[in-house]
Amino acid sequence: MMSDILLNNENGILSVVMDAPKNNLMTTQFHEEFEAVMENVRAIAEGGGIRGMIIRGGGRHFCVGADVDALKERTAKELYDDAAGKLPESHVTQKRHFTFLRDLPFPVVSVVSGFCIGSGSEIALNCHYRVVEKGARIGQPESTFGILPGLGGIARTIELCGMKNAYELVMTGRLFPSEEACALGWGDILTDKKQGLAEAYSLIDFISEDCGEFSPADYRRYITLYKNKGE
Amino acid sequence: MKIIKNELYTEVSKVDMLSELTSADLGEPCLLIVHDNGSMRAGDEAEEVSFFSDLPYITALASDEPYADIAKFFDIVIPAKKACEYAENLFKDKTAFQIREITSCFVTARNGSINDILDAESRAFYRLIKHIGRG
Repeated sequence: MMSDILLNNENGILSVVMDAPKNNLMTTQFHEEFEAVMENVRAIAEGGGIRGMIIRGGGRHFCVGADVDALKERTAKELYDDAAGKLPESHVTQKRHFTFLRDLPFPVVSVVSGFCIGSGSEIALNCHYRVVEKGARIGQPESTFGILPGLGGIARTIELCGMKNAYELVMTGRLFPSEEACALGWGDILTDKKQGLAEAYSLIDFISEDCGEFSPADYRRYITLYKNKGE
Repeated sequence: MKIIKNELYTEVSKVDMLSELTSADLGEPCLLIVHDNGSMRAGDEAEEVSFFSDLPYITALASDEPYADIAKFFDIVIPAKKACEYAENLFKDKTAFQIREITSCFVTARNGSINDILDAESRAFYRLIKHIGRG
């Protein structure tokens, strides 16, 4: 069966293109395919020789997020005993496939276009960098469905946007445009429509050619250098 | 000192010394809003740091001077005017249980590591799913 999430190695840069139905609606099948692709990424990363990775939507939208009803139904079946403190293994595995992106030994860049919502935005948040095309609409509306972002959405939003902005964004669940995303620190680079991919390649080229060995913990330093290059 | 307690947030005004808060009955809010009177002082700084870092809710300084000396004790700084509206808008259409669960993740962030927050959000997520399941 043809996968809706494609992984390619293009001259040392991994390309993950999400092209699932309904603008990358995150169904159970989407999650299974995403996890399989991320397992491949992990294996490839261990082999070395990778300069960077780009994650993007194959169509107009990055990802519209979870099918909320399916999410509630699926997770309600998972056993979680707060007193025992053991999280469902399926959740731990799923979350690891999101959060490990930040630990990869090469820069991971999401190219955000169109809708980037909910768990879809958590894919972007867990990357080192977000190149945001004008016209995108971003947000974590989980709170409006009675839940919260549980795949790194809160932790990463605090890290990128600060406590005040993160509290407001997560609590209200409001969507925000590209320009505001970059003003808040959510986005790193704002581009015109359809220019995000070229910018992502440019960023990866800069880091791999001009910054020495990539250290994930120093990810903020590289983007500052990139933005200040030529000054 | 004037204290107005709501179910989800507590507003405090007319505070001269932050240390006055340590012995005040502030209720059990998700958000504590302290209005800056322009001349508020910290008192014993170490004591204030200890007090604010242990509070189980988010603390907001309502001030038009976000870089005021006392701002560092608070989690966030919000505009002085309409602080009440700020809180109402923030919590609109959510249950108290949900607001407390979301807030708990941010309280964890005050002193915790990234891994602590990642863990807190997962646990809060499942508590909310369970809560919804109960109807």
